[in-house]
Amino acid sequence: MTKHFQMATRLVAIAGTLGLSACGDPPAADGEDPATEPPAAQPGSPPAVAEPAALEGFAREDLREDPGRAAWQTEIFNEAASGQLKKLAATIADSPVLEAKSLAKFVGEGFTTGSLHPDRPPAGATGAEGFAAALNELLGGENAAEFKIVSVQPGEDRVHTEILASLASRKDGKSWQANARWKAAWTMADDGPPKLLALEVPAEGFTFHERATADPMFSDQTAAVLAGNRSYPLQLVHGIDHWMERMEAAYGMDLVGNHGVAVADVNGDGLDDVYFCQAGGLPNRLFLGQPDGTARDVSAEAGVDFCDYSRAAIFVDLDNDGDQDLAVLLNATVVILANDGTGSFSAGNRYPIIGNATALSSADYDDDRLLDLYVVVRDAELGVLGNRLLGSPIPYHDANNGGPNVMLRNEGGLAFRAVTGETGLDRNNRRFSQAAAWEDYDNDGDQDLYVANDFGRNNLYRNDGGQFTDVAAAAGVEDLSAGMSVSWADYNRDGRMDLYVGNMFSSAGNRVTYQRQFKDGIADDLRGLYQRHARGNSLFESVDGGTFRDVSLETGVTMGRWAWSSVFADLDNDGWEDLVVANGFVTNEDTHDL
Amino acid sequence: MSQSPLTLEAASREELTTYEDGWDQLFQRIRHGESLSGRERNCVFINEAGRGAGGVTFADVSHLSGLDFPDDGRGIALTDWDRDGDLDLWLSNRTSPAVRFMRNDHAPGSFRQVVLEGTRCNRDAIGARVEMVPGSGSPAGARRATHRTLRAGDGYLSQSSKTLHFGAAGEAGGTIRVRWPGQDAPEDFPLPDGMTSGRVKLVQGTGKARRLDVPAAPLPEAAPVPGDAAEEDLLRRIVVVGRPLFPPVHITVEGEKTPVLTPGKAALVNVWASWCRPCVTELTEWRDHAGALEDAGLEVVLVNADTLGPSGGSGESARRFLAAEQIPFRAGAADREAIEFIHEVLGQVTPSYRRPPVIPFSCLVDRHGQVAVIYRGPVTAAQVLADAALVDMDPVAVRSRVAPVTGRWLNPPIPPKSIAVAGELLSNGHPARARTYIEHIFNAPRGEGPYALSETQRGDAAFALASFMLEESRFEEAVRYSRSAVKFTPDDPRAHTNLGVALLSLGDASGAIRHLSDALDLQADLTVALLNRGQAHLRTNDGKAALRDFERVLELQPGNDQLRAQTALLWFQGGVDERAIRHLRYLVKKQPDSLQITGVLSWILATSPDPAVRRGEEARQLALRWVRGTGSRDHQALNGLAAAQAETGDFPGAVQNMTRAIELLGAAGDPQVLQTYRERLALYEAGRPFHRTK
Repeated sequence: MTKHFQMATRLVAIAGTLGLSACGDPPAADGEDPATEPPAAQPGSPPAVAEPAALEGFAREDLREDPGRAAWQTEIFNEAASGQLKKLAATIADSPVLEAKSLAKFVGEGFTTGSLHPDRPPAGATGAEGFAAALNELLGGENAAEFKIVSVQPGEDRVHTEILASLASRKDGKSWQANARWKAAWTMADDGPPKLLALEVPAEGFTFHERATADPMFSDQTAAVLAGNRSYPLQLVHGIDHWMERMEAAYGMDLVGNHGVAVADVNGDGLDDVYFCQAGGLPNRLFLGQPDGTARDVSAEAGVDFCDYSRAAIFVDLDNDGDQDLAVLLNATVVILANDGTGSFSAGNRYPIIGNATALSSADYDDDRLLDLYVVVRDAELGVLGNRLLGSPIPYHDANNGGPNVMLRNEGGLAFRAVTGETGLDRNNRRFSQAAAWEDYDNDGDQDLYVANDFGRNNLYRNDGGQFTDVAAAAGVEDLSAGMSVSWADYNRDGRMDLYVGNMFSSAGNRVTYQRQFKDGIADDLRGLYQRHARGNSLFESVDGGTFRDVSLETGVTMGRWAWSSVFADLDNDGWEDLVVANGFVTNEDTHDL
Repeated sequence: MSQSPLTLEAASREELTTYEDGWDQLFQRIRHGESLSGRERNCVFINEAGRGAGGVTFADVSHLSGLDFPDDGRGIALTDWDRDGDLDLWLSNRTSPAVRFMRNDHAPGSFRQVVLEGTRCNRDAIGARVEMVPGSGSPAGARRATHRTLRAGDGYLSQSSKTLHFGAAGEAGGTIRVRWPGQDAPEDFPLPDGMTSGRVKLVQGTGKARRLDVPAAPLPEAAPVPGDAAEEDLLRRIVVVGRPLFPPVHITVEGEKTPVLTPGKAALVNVWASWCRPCVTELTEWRDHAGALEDAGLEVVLVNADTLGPSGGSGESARRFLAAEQIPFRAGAADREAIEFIHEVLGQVTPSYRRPPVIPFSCLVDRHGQVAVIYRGPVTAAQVLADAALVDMDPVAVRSRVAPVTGRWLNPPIPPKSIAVAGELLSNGHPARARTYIEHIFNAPRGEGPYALSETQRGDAAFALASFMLEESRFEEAVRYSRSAVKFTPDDPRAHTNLGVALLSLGDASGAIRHLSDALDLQADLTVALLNRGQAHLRTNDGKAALRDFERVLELQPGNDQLRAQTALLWFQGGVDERAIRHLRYLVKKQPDSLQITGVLSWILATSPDPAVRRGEEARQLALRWVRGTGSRDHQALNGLAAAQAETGDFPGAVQNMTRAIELLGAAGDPQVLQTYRERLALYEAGRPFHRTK
């Protein structure tokens, strides 16, 4: 997209004395592909159409061809085995008590399994009977199952896999879920789908959680809260894809659909209110919480129904006058809005940002009683407004060619000044950042900053009297992965703040990077970096207030999938911080996943 | 997709282009309907420490959470929205529904909620660390303190409630200890007597926790969400603010090809077929309002697609229909390419309209030939007449009136980007269409009013055309288009660069230098301009100026090895060995196997006229690698080794290798070279090294 009509970079060669060829870039090669012939119209007689008629021969181009895929034999196996597991999951969900005959198609000759709960004795039987007995022992109610293959290693006469298995059931006022890392051996799939030969459930990584109720922890009450508002059915029940076909591209709408949410008591009535940021062309929405728990849309009257492309907003009292002012990202500009004390806003100063501003996080970094703003910037280009979806991080796993993050210092009177350079925050700050959060991690009284970067190592900026030093490496929190989210909390209640970072878990990445041919010839340490990149979310335990220990695997919290907000929250009121992860990148009609 | 270059430095232009193409392809595929990590279910992990397990581990309870929707989730904000003592969630999604309120239905145990007010720190007390210290009466398991920090903005694009929530698991009494931001000493707030659960407000400096009365809000039963009747219309009628040009396509009227649009006239263009019943119905309805349509200043043009029907067609039935029904509009037949072209341009208006053409479809075109309203499916004459008023309306007014959901805008409307449409045509694999379309933009008549084609657009088109010409080595035309680009977009450094490159290609080095300098005045770090200006300077024999440009490029692109080698040679030729050596050492380190670079560096180090620069031993080591690398069969390498040996004082070795070089060159070799070699041999035999003269 952006590369079309790039500069022609033709250079005239000069002769080098020792035959060195001339330098220079090759001419841009855009647009030289031969035009594809539209397929011929198909024969047949004109239908008697009553509806608008489709012209024939305009079939969608099939862009699915992916030459890379064929190179991976193990990926081909994975596709076959994953297909089997998908069917198995459906079979398990279909009936409370599983019968051997419904499982026969999944197991090969001589199939053996232990108990699916490592603390319980094995059922003893083999074959489909054994499998049914093992599953029934663990489940037996209204079942759910999900499997993900994370490792494929071909053996002599069988293929060994590791499968993340998640099995849940609810029955008789109880519900439970078991998660395990199954070691499974399969038949080689020459004719027909592969079949399970052996299953083993190691104690390591096994978790079992039982609740004393069959009801889920949360219920969707969106309609109960919002249904009284016209904007809910008109606007908010729809996803981006709905609008992508209906709204003008020039308004600023992109398919990645990264738009945030902010909660605050905007009108000072003691009840929380909620503000949603929206794609270009759709107004941001402010809902005031009502005493009965419903919410009233006041976007227009509050003066915050901006239709400009908006990623994030935060409400903070920027002038210490006792109400919640608003800082909102509109296009690539930070806009400051003063609250008049009643929840009505007027737009004030604007601070244009170079690049694609993503998120906002506020703290008083210099302890002058005025809250400052840190602006997270991902790409160096303007994203949707510049007609580009993502930048080109180089190198992919450790880039530093994104847009520069910006520290805006509150100078009083709702005016701000960029102090990124003078505070030292300009170091390592072009890593395609996605999220940031402040925390006094070293308990020295000032606010430090952690920044999660999509394609580069993450930053931990230690604050020493208003000057920042990136100590991520020394502190052990560089977290070489696709960072999307930052959350701080004291998860083990030792008085020190720990760190949970949302990343990209890729089962494909896990499988592929462990194969030999993956970037054949690259050094093992680099391979390690790529493997690490696909590992998933990270939990860093603060050890001594200065350094952290990576406890992600031992605590079992990596599998957040393609994670976005990944946050601590004590969901069950036991005083211990739990974790909740919003995830998924792009779901399209086509169920084929790249 | 293609693999990432491992460092930005090492990335060649080709690698970068391939890599960026990879990203673009990936997103093209997603835009064309494939999923990437789609249908993933949200995850919940419960901290098991509360259940007395040894150590702290988490259990994945996603299936039990009620949160495991397959949404493409993004933001999470925490708040006890219904004030029943547990944390509820507001979620934002990419997919439908865009927002969810998830109520925590967990029967709450005891809880404490804390609202802070700073008096000597920021009023919100953002950054305050709050420690819930359990009272002595708490059960043994609940005597551990809990710490929370008040934060503004975390997770991903999210901000949670400023009311801090503490699950209390049966704790009794206790103290809330607050370390306010910027304050060293914590402040204690004893919990109000007898309070097990509830919300308190803590004002800095008061030491007193004030109870807040916040009754729980039992939500009403959820009402069914009303459907939206206007929805189909939203899909079918698009009023355009950023108007692209209607493509330059033709219809055949009575055997003659003629443009669809009449220049300077607004139009209603309709694509139809006689075998399509809704088309036929639509046209007969329009016929009855032909006068009104004309009065509205609209020329109605019918583009017939009969030949594209499921069984093809001669167009005869279309002619029969038009005559029989006395349809009074200009009508002609179009070929597949024309219809596809129209459909594709109209499709670019919305970001992801990727459906095959369904007829009828129509559009209103303004007098500049730009698409103002799109109708997917049939439209009534009444609707068209109503929309005719929009055609000349100011874009700000149009935007605030026609958006499906209205609101306020802070930024002005984004100007129309026909050139961006051309880019999409290229992306979609239609370069010929893209080229035609760009020429169309370039040649479009100048107009007036808010929708007139801007000079920037024309300049962008000229620039693109110049780039095409350069690629095809049509330099005169490249110069012509570049001059237009410079005229229309004088502030675009790329336009000046193209002009400079084109002139250089035609041999006008000084003209090239002038325009490339203009480009660099506009953008100092434009490497393409620097590189070309450097080459132009060489053409005018200004080596110093060339080197200045090349050195600047190397600062910007340290990984450009070819340029570095060339620069080193230029320094060498200019007699500045020191600078040459610096570049060559860098290259030798990076490419130890390159014999060329090894050889040149060795030669300079051994033979420099400047004694301060000469390094005999280093030269000898390098020359040895050169000789070994060429299997001791290359007379140049042996000549180099001899020079290095002589520089270290090893004259017998130098004599031996110089002799060998002469043998290898042979009597049939270049007599001038042979003569030079013999002179050197004599020098070494006399116990003197060879040094170049300044």
